[in-house]
Order: sequence, then C-alpha cells, then structure tokens
Amino acid sequence: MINYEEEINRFKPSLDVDQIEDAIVKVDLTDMNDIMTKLIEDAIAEKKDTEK
Amino acid sequence: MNYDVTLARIANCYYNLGLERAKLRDLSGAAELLKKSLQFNKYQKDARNLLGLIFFECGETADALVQWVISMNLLPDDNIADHYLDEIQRKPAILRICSDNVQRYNQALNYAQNNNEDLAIMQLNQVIQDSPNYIKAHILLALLYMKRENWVKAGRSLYKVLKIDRNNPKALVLMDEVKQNTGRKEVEQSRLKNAFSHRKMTDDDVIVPQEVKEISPWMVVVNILIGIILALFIFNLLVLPTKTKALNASNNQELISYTEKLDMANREYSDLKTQYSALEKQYNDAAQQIQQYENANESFIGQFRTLTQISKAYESGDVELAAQLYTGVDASQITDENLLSQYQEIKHIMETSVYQKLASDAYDIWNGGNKDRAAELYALSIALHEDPENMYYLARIYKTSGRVEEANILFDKIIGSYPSSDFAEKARTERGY
Repeated sequence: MINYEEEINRFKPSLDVDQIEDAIVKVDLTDMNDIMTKLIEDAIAEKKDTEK
Repeated sequence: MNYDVTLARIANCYYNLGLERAKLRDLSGAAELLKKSLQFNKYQKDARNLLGLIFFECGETADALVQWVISMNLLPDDNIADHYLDEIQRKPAILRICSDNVQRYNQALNYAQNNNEDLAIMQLNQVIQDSPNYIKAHILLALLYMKRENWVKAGRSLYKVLKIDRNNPKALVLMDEVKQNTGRKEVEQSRLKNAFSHRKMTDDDVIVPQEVKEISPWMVVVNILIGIILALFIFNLLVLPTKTKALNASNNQELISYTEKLDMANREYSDLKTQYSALEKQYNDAAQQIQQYENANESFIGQFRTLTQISKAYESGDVELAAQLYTGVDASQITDENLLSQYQEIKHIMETSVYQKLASDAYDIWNGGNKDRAAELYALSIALHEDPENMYYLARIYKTSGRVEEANILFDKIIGSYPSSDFAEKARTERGY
C-alpha cells in the first residue's frame, strides 16, 4: 500500500535555470581516479611518516 | 597495473550500457549507468553529454545545461555539448518557457506538500500542457489523482510517463497500483496466461490421419488437360489482350506514319499542280504574245509588200493596178510609223492625181463606146476620191446601160452629199425632182 503523503513529500524542487551557476559550482566532480590518487598520496605520506 | 586505464575502461563499459538503455527508451536506467560511468571517469565526455540529453528529454532543462556546461569546461575541444548549448541559446523562448515551467512545478509541489491539492493539480496541468515531457510533473500529478482515487486520470498520466521513460521505477510502481485498483491487472494476467498456455486435449478430440490418395493415369491426363485449358484461358485473359493492344498500337503508329507520308505527298502534288498551272499560264501568255508578234509581223510584211507594189505600179504608169491595190489596203491595220508615212504619201497621190487620171481615162473610153470599161474606171476613181462630177458620169453610164437602181443611188448621193454643186442640179433633173 502506497503512502501518498510520504511519496509527495519525497519530491524535491526542480533546478531552476537561474540557479545553474550555483549548481555547477556545487557539483561534486570527484571521480574514482581522484579518489585513487588521493589514497595513493595518503599512503605515501603515511609511509614517510612511519619511516621518520 | 595502470589503474587510470582500468577506470576509463569501466567508465566506457557503463557508458555503453547506458547508451543501450537509452536506445531502448529506458531513460532512468540509462541515467543511473551514465552517472556511474562519470563516477569512474569524469572526463567521459559522451556519457556526460548523453546524461544531459536524457535530462533534457525528461523536462529537466536546467540539469541538462549543467551537464553540458561541465562537459564543455572539462573538454572544450570537439565537443557536441557546444552544439546543444548553442541550440538552446539560439532559441531563448524555449529557455524562458522551461524556466517558467520549473517555477510553476516548484510552486505546485509546494501546494501539494501543504495539502493544497486542487491548486497543485491545476498548476501541474498547465505545466504539462507546456512541457509534455516533464516526467516529474506527470508523476506528481498521478500521485495527486491517486490520492483522490481518480485512477483513470492517474493511469493516463503514468502512461505518458512510461511512453517517455519506459522503465521509470516510480511510474511502474504507481501504474501497478492503478491497475490493481481498476482491475486491469487481472485482465492482463489472464490474457498472458491464455497467450502462453497450451490447451489440453480432451478425450473427445480425435486426430485424423492424412490420407494419401493414389491418382489413376486417366486422372493424370484429365488434370493435364484441365491445366492446359486453364493456361490457355489465362493466356487469353492476361497475355493476349496486352499483345493485341501492343500490336494495335504498333499498327496505329504505322498507319499514322503512312497517313503523314500521304498527306505530305498530297501537299507536294498540290504545290506541283499550282506550279504547273502558273507555268501553263505563263506559257499560254508567251505563246499568245508570240502569236501576236507573228501576226503583227505577217501583217507588217503584207502591208509593206502591198504598199511597195502600189508604188511600183504607180511608177510604172499602171495607175489602175495601183488604184486597185490601194483600195484593198485597210489603213486602220497599219501601225508601223514608217509604213504609215509611206501610206500617207500614196494616199495623197491617189486622192490628188490618180483619181483624176482614172476619170480622164474613163471619159475617153466612154467616148470610144466602151461603157462597161468606163464604168469600172469611174467606180475605181470614186473609190479613191468621191467627186460629184465622176459620180454623175458613172450614174449616167449606169442609166444608159439599164442599171437604173445603181444610177439612182448615185444620183441621190450627189443630191444629198453635194447639194450645192452643179451636178446636184443635173442629178435632180435625172431623177425628175
């Protein structure tokens, strides 16, 4: 049984054309490549700290 | 292992899957896969552009623009997103309508979330009228109708959603609910059951084996004959009329050709006939002219000869012959100027001296007793020149010779033509006036 009230409340407002610039700024463009790079960098840094 | 290559491959795989879904109009599924592709490789240009297209198709113009702008920023070279952005910028009216619709949708959502469903439904209907592909508006409207248990209208909205996005999960769930409430689900289930189930054989069903009939040789002959007759019939019905038509057309063409040739020959004949008539006329005219020239020439020669003979006779002293020839000349026939002047000279001689000579000779002969000869000469003299004296003497000879009528004619002529002369009085006396 569908709860219509809940379903309606789940809806979010659509993005307005005037808000495009803000939306672009807010978009998270991080991809798996960035994450991997970050992980590798962190791992290298941690290794350096350990060696010290 | 080079992980970035692996990530790019994974992203490409997701993009390919997303493209396949998009081709099947499973826009929701395609969008999810394309988003995953971008999570693995944000530089997957095609995935981002296709995601933008899907957003645009679903009525989310702003989201589409976001994706295309990001795509252009990340990879500006040889990017079709530039074309999409250009298309939208070239038609600012579309952008304005989309913006207005988004605003109205957001307002309708606000109404719906604050239990103001009537206004929300009205607003959403307007939004859908302007943007028939706006999926979120359709689904929200369907939900509002379902809440009011208006299943038919809700089903209509959901049907439109599923036409745009075939596997939209929310629309599928809601459609299932609508079908359950309208009874369509049972109908569809029974239809599916009938379509894919086999009918079980009952005990009364009998399988009749196919008989193999043996055909006798006579039947074979009869069948062949029937086949030939049918073939002839079909030939007469289909092939023959076409051939006859083609033959008739050919004959007609030939006939037209012959008619044209005949017509041309007739025209040529007519032209030649006209030319012949003209030439014949020219010939006749020429022949007539030649005849006229010949006649004129003959006449000229005759006249010349006569005048020459007159001159010769006169010069030789034979005035009687000269006078006889002169009386035979028709002066009106002389047209040549030289002959005419010669004739005038002869005439002058005849009318001045020759007639007197003849009258003198006649008088002498009369005195000699030869009346007839005298009468001939007098008559010749009078023919050259009418002199009342000569006429009187001739009349007298006639009278004495018993030719009274001729004499009286001459007497009367003297009285009538020369009334004042001396011989007129004598003529009256002779006539007894």
